[in-house]
Amino acid sequence: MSLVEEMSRLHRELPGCRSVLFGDAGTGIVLRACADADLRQEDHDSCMADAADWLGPEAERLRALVFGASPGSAPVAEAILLDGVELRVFRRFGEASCDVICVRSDNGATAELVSAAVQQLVQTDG
Amino acid sequence: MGNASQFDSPGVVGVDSPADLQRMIGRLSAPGSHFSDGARQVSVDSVELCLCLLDEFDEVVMARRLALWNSRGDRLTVELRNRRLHQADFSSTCDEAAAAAQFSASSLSYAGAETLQAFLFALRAFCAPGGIWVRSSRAGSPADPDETGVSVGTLRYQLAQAPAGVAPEAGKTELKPPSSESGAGRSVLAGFIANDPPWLEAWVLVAGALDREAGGRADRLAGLSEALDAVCNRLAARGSQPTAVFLEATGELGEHLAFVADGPERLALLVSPSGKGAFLAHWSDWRRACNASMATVAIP
Repeated sequence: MSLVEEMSRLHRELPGCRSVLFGDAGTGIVLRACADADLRQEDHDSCMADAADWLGPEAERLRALVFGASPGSAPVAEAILLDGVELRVFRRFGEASCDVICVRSDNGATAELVSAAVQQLVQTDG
Repeated sequence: MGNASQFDSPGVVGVDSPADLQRMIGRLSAPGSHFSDGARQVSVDSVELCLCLLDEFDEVVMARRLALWNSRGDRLTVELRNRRLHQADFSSTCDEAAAAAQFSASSLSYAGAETLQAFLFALRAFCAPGGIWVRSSRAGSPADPDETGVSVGTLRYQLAQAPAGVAPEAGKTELKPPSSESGAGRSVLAGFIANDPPWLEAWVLVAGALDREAGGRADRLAGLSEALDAVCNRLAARGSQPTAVFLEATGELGEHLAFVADGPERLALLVSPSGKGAFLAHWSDWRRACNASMATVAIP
């Protein structure tokens, strides 16, 4: 199954899933989206910007503040943003990869379930 | 697959999870699968037997009631929904399982660490050598939206953490939602870390401009405090409250970071390497408990 098919399956089968995006966290570009019809490109861009924010240098700085600046320390693999309305899961395809999957979900699956589904997708296609 | 008649024969344990067919197929086709010969083969080790039972709980999505008996004649009835344990009712004829009585007809509504350890202690006492028999039926009562239940992931984690044979302290098993009076202070977010969850390695709580509390690993507190200051504005910029972000470390040995914001309060957490699932389950439970308590506030 191709990545796009996997993304489409995830969007279709994950309860409450609003969008599944594939993109480049380094540049913030959305390369592929499987999403509800009412979501616009701006929504996808905003989601990818969140991914770039929480998986990027800023997240590394937070980790460095806590764990110290150890050269070669591994980057953040996954960031999960939770609030009272929705949850967003961002996951890299590999340690040094800028390719990320972003899943936005509301009032459906739990964060554990969404995270596990995203992890499975990344492991399948990584 | 997954109807009640499968469970009518003693010794046969089935799965009622049509939503997770792929995982089920994987388990069935795995070498040495417990289900390959139609009956689950388990060792006499009580912890392993507990884990087998939790595996079964984890397969239940639609509301079900499972009645279980052990070779001593003790009975455990559980109600499960959406892979979460909502009610547990022990009835024991054995003194060793006296702790089980604490859970009689209890609704599990909050994943307090002591509560779960007490439950798991009782479950271990229940999982005696000689086998367990299971019967499944429809859940007796409709789902109450205020019931949170406890995720199987949390139970599994607690089982791995709990020392064998240590009974819970008396008076610590009352099921309570997060309380602003318990734990680290008087704030709402203090309720999030009340009961000292086992996945928590260190925390810093800011409840006001000058009110800062911390606990856990001393070598991480200064860094956590700095990181919390750095992340405050980014979390506060999101309109919805409370908000949390969980940053998973790459690899299996790194600790994870989490930050929670609720109004003027901020909380930074250092989560143990294996504590991701337990943290996420705890967040879900806490959110539901908060929503439930908000829904029952009387307006004067």
